[in-house]
This record gives sequence, structure tokens and C-alpha cells, in this order.
Amino acid sequence: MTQLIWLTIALPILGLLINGLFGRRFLGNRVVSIIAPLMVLLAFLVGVGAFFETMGRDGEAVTVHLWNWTTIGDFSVPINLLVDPLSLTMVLVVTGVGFLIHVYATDYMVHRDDHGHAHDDRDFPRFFTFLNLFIASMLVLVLGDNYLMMYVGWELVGVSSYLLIGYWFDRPSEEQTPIDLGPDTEPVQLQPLLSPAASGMKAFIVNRIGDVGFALGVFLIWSTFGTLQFDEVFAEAVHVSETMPTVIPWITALLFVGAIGKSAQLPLYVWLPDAMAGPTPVSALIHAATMVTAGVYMIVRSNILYSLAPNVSLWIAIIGMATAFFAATIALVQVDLKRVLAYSTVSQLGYMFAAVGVGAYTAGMFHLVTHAFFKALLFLGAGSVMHALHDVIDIRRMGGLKDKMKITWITFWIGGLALAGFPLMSGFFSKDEILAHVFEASPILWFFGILTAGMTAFYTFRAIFIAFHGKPRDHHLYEHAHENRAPITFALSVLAVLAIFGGLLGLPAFMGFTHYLDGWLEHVLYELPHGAEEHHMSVTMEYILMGTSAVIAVGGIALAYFFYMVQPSIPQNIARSLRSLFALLAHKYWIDELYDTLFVQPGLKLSNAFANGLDKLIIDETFIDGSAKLVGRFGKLLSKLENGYTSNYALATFIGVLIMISYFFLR
Amino acid sequence: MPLDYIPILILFVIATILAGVSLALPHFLGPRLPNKAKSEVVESGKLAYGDARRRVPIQYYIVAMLFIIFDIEVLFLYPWAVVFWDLKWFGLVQVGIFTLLLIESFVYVWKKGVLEWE
Amino acid sequence: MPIEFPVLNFVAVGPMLAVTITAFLVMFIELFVEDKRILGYISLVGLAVAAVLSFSLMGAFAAPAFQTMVISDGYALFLNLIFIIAAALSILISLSYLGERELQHGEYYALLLFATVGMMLMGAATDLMIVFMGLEIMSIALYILAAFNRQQLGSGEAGMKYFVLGAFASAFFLYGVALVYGATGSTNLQEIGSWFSVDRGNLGDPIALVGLGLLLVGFAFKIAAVPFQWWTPDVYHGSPTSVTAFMSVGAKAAGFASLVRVLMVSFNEAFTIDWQLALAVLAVITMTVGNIAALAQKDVKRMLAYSSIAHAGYILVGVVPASMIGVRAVLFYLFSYTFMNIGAFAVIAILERRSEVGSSIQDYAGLASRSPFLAGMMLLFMVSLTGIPPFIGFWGKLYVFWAAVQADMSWLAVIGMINSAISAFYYLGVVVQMYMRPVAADEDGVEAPAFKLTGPIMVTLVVTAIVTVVFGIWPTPLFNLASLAAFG
Repeated sequence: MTQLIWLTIALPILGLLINGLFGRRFLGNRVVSIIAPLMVLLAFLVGVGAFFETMGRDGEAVTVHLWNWTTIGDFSVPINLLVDPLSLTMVLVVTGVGFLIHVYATDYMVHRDDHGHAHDDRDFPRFFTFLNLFIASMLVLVLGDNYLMMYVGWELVGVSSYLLIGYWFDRPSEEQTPIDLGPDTEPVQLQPLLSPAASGMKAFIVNRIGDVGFALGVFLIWSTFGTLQFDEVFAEAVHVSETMPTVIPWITALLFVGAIGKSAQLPLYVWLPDAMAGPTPVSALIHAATMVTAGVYMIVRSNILYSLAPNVSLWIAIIGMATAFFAATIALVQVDLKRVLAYSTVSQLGYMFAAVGVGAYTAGMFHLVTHAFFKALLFLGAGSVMHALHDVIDIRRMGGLKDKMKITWITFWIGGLALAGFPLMSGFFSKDEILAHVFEASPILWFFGILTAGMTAFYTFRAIFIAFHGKPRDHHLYEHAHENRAPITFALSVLAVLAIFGGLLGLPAFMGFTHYLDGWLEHVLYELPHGAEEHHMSVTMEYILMGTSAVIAVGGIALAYFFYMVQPSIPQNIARSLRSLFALLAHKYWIDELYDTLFVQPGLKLSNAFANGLDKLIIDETFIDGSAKLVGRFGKLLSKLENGYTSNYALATFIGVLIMISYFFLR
Repeated sequence: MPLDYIPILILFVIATILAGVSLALPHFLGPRLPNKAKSEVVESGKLAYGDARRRVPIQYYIVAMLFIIFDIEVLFLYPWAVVFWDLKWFGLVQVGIFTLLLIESFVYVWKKGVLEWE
Repeated sequence: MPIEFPVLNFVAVGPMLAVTITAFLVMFIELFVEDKRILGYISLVGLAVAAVLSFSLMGAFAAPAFQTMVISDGYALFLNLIFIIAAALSILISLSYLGERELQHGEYYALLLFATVGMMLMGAATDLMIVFMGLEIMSIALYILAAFNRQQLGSGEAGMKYFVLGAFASAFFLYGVALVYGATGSTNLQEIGSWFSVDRGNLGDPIALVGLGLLLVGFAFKIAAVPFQWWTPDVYHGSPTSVTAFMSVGAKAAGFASLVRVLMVSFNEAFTIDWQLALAVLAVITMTVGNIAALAQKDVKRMLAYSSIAHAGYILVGVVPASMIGVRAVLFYLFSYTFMNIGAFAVIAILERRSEVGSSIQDYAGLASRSPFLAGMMLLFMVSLTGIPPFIGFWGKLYVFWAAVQADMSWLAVIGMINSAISAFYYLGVVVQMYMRPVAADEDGVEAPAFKLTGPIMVTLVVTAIVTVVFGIWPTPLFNLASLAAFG
């Protein structure tokens, strides 16, 4: 299976070709909705096969040589896939979660009206074509054995993300109802939501900013190491850091700029919340479980480089934790269920970066995996609600849904508990491991981490209590709400199981359990030869930290219960008394507006000036058009010579012969 | 080397001069007494009738062409006939194929209606 | 008196025999069938047999046949494949194209096959006389094919011009053969080569070298190199599009095939010393004139005619170094050009108006909205012809220019690249029309031409597109095959 790992990429491509070329015209939507998930499932099975083989090899990496892309003289570009524990972990997450989401989408993309009449989404095959494209792109990203392929995959996932966010490209932007703060206070106005098309553009452009950094990083690797192959670069890294001490920090910093864009960290996180304009399966797959974690994967893959650049790593940890905290504060007041989850994703990604920043690569990957489970679950749960309520996503119009949608309710609870870090759920172990490592590196960062954890528990259950419990707020919606069909509940159930038991992958070692992930990823993580001194915390300290996490999580949930179930007037009162702070949060710190005034508007003005002045007048009209006209005139002249008289042609041919012969004699 | 070809050049020149002279001399030397009979078209002693530039049916050319082609093709049989005994079966088979091809083209021409004369 | 039979080795000419027999069969069966399309399919079967024979011979020892008149080496067999593919794809286009214009005649397919035989003979010939024979077999068939749409004045004009000028060029070629024979005493390529070998002191012999110059003229005419390109636009424009597709690819490949063999086997050193610079200049002028004249065209078919002149220039860049790398690059280029050019002509064949010659660029306006499939196909071929990666055209150009660089003629490669950039103007002009202009009516207010996609022409489009993309992404196997096919 290891040698067949290319199938994991080829199968989704096959699926997208079949669905893209024949889906609409020949196959029909039902066939499309079988082919697309089937391809991902088969890819998953190949991944599982490779997984067991790699287990049998004790985690040893295998490079699968596919072909030489081109050979010119001595220069050749081989296309290789790297099968090792790290890439396989990603493959399994991408295809496994991806498969569930594909299944989910087969029903989600069928719209039903109040009378249960179903009609498929207008561009059903297009959706699945793009979804398969994404899976293939993501696998190229994680399976490539060099930075070039990683970059190609990096850009491809960006494109598929763009295509999928803007999938409903003709939907307009939506106004949001202002947040009512009681009778005597002015309600807080909300900015309108971007249209899907604009959101897609925004995501793509913001990502491109990061990609510039990534590309520069790759160039720098090439000029430093003369190769882009992972193994060759990593083998040389220690040597290079001794001879050229400034290069590796630059490389790592530039690569991290790419990660900031792709994984939505400060200050480039702004695209992710708007990306929620895409269909919910897309949000779950791309903007929660897989694509946004590419930055984390990249850093773990390049762990030796980051280990050699401790200052950059420290900054990564700081930025990560700052993002985690910052995004969590915004999530506290969002009224849009998907946006709560979006900010939560940004926040959780911050945790992962904090982990890899302090060198806890395993912990970062661990949280990546568990987060993929429970965040995908939460998004799919939100989608299930949306589906039942005809695309209403504002939690202020929900309430009491637990009676109508049992499975969605229970699974959403499970996801919420995992996200909040409720003891023994998957998120508890992974988050606790991160926080323990962060505490080791810096107690201040840990403090923000634990604060964020509290907020996470609070905002998650705020949303749950408002949406699922209490009295229905919009009776029409409530009446027509219903549990969804099997594809949706199936995906929810499987993910719920994973969200509960995902923690078994990395039970804390200090309690005497086996940390499977630790052993599994051992081969991928490089030990520095001089050896960073390992000072382990005392077991007591570990227990204290874990206890704190548990208490904070339970406390956050309890607080949410008290605020939204017992005394619903409290939150409103707080918001009223701290109106300006509330408005600041509700407006997401005005960051979008700030970027607009600082960068977008001046940029537009500058480009207008260039376009109309420099480009149009000087470059276009003088140089380009001028030279084109000149060449064009010459072309007209030449066609005039071609006047259609055979005798002239013969004469011209004869003159040609004469010229050739006289050249020979006069040479 | 080019010098070796000088004789050829000389030959060219001499030939050109000779031809020019023999065309020019009668023009100066010969007496000119035109009359009606002299300026008539000579057609092997027969009396000329009508214009020479009249239309000839296209079939005439085609049939003439086909005749020449088949005529020449048949010519190939002569050398074969000469060494018939030496070539043995090899020759027979080869000529058989050749003849078959001839017949095929004949059938083709026939079926295409080329031989029909209206 | 026993007769010693010459060793003929019919096996070596198997592919040619297969095509020849098919041609005769087609002419014969034509007499008895009503639906002439069957003949097209029979021709396809014949070509398939020839392809299989070529493939099966490929591994075998390069066998000379008919007393060193022809040879079936890897080179000839690779070219056989190109000719067979070109013929097959053209037949597929013809099946649709001719039917719409009521031109289905058996002779068409037979002539196409005869032309293919001529081409194959040129690729395999190891004697100047056989080269000439192949040249004439190919040319005469093509003259007739060019005039095949005899109801159209333009088609007749094309045939007539092609014939007159072609005969003119053949005369030069023949004169070249005569001079070479006069000097070397042989028409056999190998023997000419050994006559030229250094130790015999014949390197600078002017007669033989003038002969080579005239041979170059003959080849330059067939491959449409400046200043012998005059016939190209008129002939490509006037001929039925299916014939143009075949001619632009097959005749060019055949011309290059025997040009390269003659240069490599017979004149290698003599050529490098005396004619290399001239041919390099010819290459530069050819691509420049082709590209610049193409810019001014308003007719897509004519534009592609000029572009084919430009491509002859690019391929000449690979011929000029007279090196192994160059030969490989030329073979690769010819193969790639076969697919992308026939693909482009297939689109033209679909969009051409019944009653007119040529295909105005106006007719392509807004094609993307009328038929996204066709527009997508045309886009693909245009982009590939421009030489933009990752399509097959890119690699062809890369290898050819690389050969020039290897031979210390970087300037040639640079000029080639500048020319590629110029060519983007007119190739992408078509794309602009298709994707960014609304559907336009012509001067008489007639809406854009109606078209229909029929099975055979769809096959052509899909096959050419797949090859253009697949070998664009992964050129190595094709390049390896071309390397095997180059001499040695």
C-alpha cells in the first residue's frame, strides 16, 4: 500500500474528472454523490493500508518515486511522495474526516422546503468536483517530499478554498440585525456580511500575502541548500546553522509568514471568519479540520529548522497565544453560530502554534488531530441546524432545538465538551498537553492560555445554551425544524465518537499511560546533536496544571449555564454597562475597517494612479501599443508581399536560390 | 574545381553564338517574295478547314493518357519475357501481382465511367 | 546463367506496404459502396496495421532494404508513427468535414494514404533518389488533395499554386541531386558521407556543396521556410481544412525527416563548415517573418498558416546544430506539433462556414459562451502552440532551444524565445475573441456560423487534447522514445 500511496491523490482526481466532465450532463446528481465520497473513502483505505505497513516498519520513512517530471542534461526534477508517520497522520485525517464530510454534503447540498420537497443545489456536481479537488490538493501538500511540491499543494488548496468559499457566487451580501441591548440603550449595529464571492476574494488575497513570504522562504532554502528535498535540507541544516547563523532564522520566519496567512493567525486571520460564507461542509473540512492546519504541519515537518531558530520559535509561540486569546474574546459576543466556531478555530490554531513554538511538536499535532475531529463535528452540527432552519444561522432566532433535533443536539454537546476541554474528552488531553509545555516555557503565556481556555468553554456553551436550550424564539422556524437525514446524522455520530475517544492517541505519559502519538512521530522529529537540556516538570506540577485546566473548563461551562439558563438578564446588563467594550468586540476590534483604511483604500488609490497614469499612458500606449503597432505594420507589409501571383512567388523563390548560392560563393 | 568546367562554359558560348548566327543570317540573306499560297497553313498537304484552336472533347485526352499509361506498363513485360526461365516462380509471382494491379486499375477506370464516350 | 536475386527485405518496408495496399483497397472498394465514410474507417484500420508493424519493428535491428535504398531504423519508425498519427487524425476530421461539404469520395482517402506512403518513404530513404521519389509521391498526392474542394475557387487556386511552385522547387532539388552525384559519384547517403570524410580531402568541394545548397532549397520549400514559403498561406488557406491539417503537419515532418537524415549521414562536417550559418539565418528569418506576418491576419486559418512557417523556424533551430541533442529535440517537436496543430485545425474545421474559404476571426467571438467545450479546446491548443507550460508545446521549444545552447548558439535560442513571445500576441488574440468578446454577426448580418460536433472529430479533439496535456505534464517517456529514435 505504501508504494500505492499515489492512489490517495489519484483517486480524488479521478473523481473530480468524472464528476467535472460528465457529472452534469450524463451522470446525474445521485451518481455524483456516490462517486465523490467513494473516491475519498478508497483513498482513506489506501492510507490505512500504508499506515499499518509503516507501523510494521516501526515508522521508518519511505520515499515513493513516481516519475521524473523533466530531465534536461543533468538537471532532473523527480516527483516523489514521502510516506512517513507525519504525512500519514495528515493523510488519514484529511481523507477520514474528508470522507465523512463528503457523505454529509450529499444530503446537505439537497435543499428541502417546509413540505419536504427536495431539490438539489443548482450546481451539485460542481460542488463535489471542487471538494475532490481540495482533497487531492491537500494530499499533494502533505505527501510531497520537497518544499516545491509543498508549495504547489499550498497554492492548490488556496485555489480550491477560493472556489468553494465563493461557491454560491451569486448570493448577495447580507445585512445583520443589530444586537438589542434592552429598552433604553442604543442597539449595537453590525456590519453586513460579505457576499460569498467577495469572501472568496478576500480569503484568496489575504492568503497571497502570506504566500509571498512562503515563496521567499522556499527561494531562500533553494539558494542556501541548493535543494528543496526535505531529507537533504534537514541533513544539512545543523551544518548550515553553524556556518551561516542568520539564514535559518530568516527561512523559518519567512515560512511562518506563509503559515500566518494559511492558518489565519494574527494579523492575517481576517479572511477566516468571512470564509464562513461558503457552504458549511466546506467550512468544516477546509476552514476547520484540514487546510488551515497546513501551517502547523509545515512547521512540524520543518521542525529541525525551527529548533535551530529559537528566537523565531518564541515569536511563533507568542503570536500563537496572542491569536488564541484575541480570537476567543471576539467569539464571546458573536451572534452567528458559524462565526463563533470560526473565531474558535482561529483561537485553537493559536494553541497549536503556541505548542510548536515552544517545541512541543507532538502536542501540536495531537491538538491538530483532535481539533479536526471535534471542530468538524461542531461545524457539521451547526450546518445540520442551518439545514433544518433553512439557512438561518443567527443564534438569536434559535432556541429549544434540543427537542426537535436529538442527534444534532447530543453530538453538538459532545463536540462542545471536547472543545471546552471537559475532562476525559479528546480536547482535554491535547489542550492540557499544550498548556503544560507552554507553562514549561513561560508561565505568562500559560496564563493567557488558561484564560483563553476559560473563555472557550464559556462561548461554546453560550452558543449551545442559546441555540438548543430555553424557549424557541422564532416559532415559525421552530415548528418546521426537524432532524436531518441519515447522511448527516451518520457523519455527526462517527465524529462524535472520535471527539470523545480521540484523546486515547495521547494519554498523558506522566500518569503512566502510553502516549501513542509520541512514539509514532518519533522518527519525524529530529534531535539536535548538542541536545536541548530536558528538564521535566515534577509529576505533581503536571497534576496541578491538569487540575487547573479541568476546573477552568468546568467553570466556564457553569458560568455559561448561569448566564444563559438561570439568569439571562445578566449578560445583557453587563453588555449594557460595558457598551463600548461590547461594541468593540462585536465589531471584531474594527480590524477589518482598519485594514481597509490602512491598506486597501491607499492600495486601490495607488493602483488606480499606476493604472491610469504610468501604465496606461506610458507603458501601454507608448511602449506596448507602440511596439505592437510597429510590428503590426511590418506584418501588414509582409502580407502585402504575399500578393497571390504565382509568378511573383516563383520569382521570389528563384531570388532566394540566387541569394543562397551567391552567399556560398561570396562567403 | 571550377576551372575544370571552363570548357563547358566555352561550349555554352559557342552554341549560343552558332544558334544566333544561323537564325540571323537567313533574315539578311534570303529574298522575300510572299504570296497567298505561301502564307497558308500547311497541314500535311490537306486543305485546312476552320480554326486550329477549337475545343476537343475531354475524353480524348483521358483516353489518350490511359492508352499511353497502359502501353508503357505492358512494356515492362518484355524484359521479364527475356529472362522468364531464369526467374522461375519468383518472376511469375511478381508479374502476376503486377498484372493484378494493372487489372485493378483497369476495372477502376472502367467502373468510374472514364471509357464512356458521349 | 543463374540470376542472383537481390536481398529485398520486404519486412523493413512493411508499414509502407500496409498503407499502400490499404490505399489500393480503398480505391477498389470505393467502386462498390454508396457510403464513402466506410473507406475512411478502412483507411484507419490500414494505418493501425502500419502502426503496429512499425512498433513491432522498433526493437529489431536497423535493417536496410532494397540494397540500401531504404532503412527501417528507430528514426524512420518514430517518424512513421508521426505520419500515421497525422494521417489518422486528419481522416477523422475528414469524416465529418467532407460529409458536410458533400466531398466524400474514395479517392480522397486513397490520396491521403499515398501521401502518407510518400512521407514514410522520405523518412526511411537512404538514397537521394528514393528521397526524391518519396517527395514526389507525397507532393503529387497533396497537390490533388489541395484542390479537392473543386467547387471552391480558392481550393483550385491552392492546388494549382502548390503544384506549379512545388514542381519548381522539385527541379532545384533534382538539380542538387545531380550536382552531388556529379561530384561524389553516388546518390547513396552513406557513400556520400564517406566521400566527404576528412581523410579523402573532399570537404570543400564546391560542386557537391552547391548541390547541398540546392537540396536545402528543395527541403526548405517543403517545410515552408523563408524565402521559399510563398505558397504556404495561399495553399493552407484554400485547401480543405482537413487537408491543411494533414499537410501542415505531415509534409513538414517528412521534409524535416529527410533533411535531418541527409545532413546527419551525408554532409555532417561539410554542412557544419559551409552551410550551418546560412541555415541558422534561414531559421531566424523564417520564424520572424512567420510570426510578424501572422500578427496581421484576420483569418484564423491563414494565421495558422503563417504560424506554421514560424514553427518551421523553431524546428530549424534544432536542425542547425546537427547534433544528437538537436535530432532528439526535432523529433520531439515534430511529434508535439502534430497533435496541437491538428487539434487547432480540427476546431477550425468545425467552425468553418460551408460556403466560404477560411475562417474569419470574427466567427470566434464569444465562442466561450456558445460552446465552452470548443473554446476550451482551442484555448488549450493556442496556449500549447505559444509554448506555455505545462503543455507539450513548451517542452518542444525548450528542447529545441536547449540544443542550440548546447551547440554554443545561444543567440539563436534567444531569438527563438523572443519570437515565441511575439507569437503569444496572435495566439492569445484568438483566446481574447473567444472569451472576452460578444458573439458577433458578420458584415451581412449573418449570425455566427452554426456548427455541430460529430463523433469522429470529437475523437480527434479529445485525443489531441489528452496528448497535449499528458505529455505536457509528463514529457519524459516521449522524450526517451525520441532519444531512442535519434541515430545511434
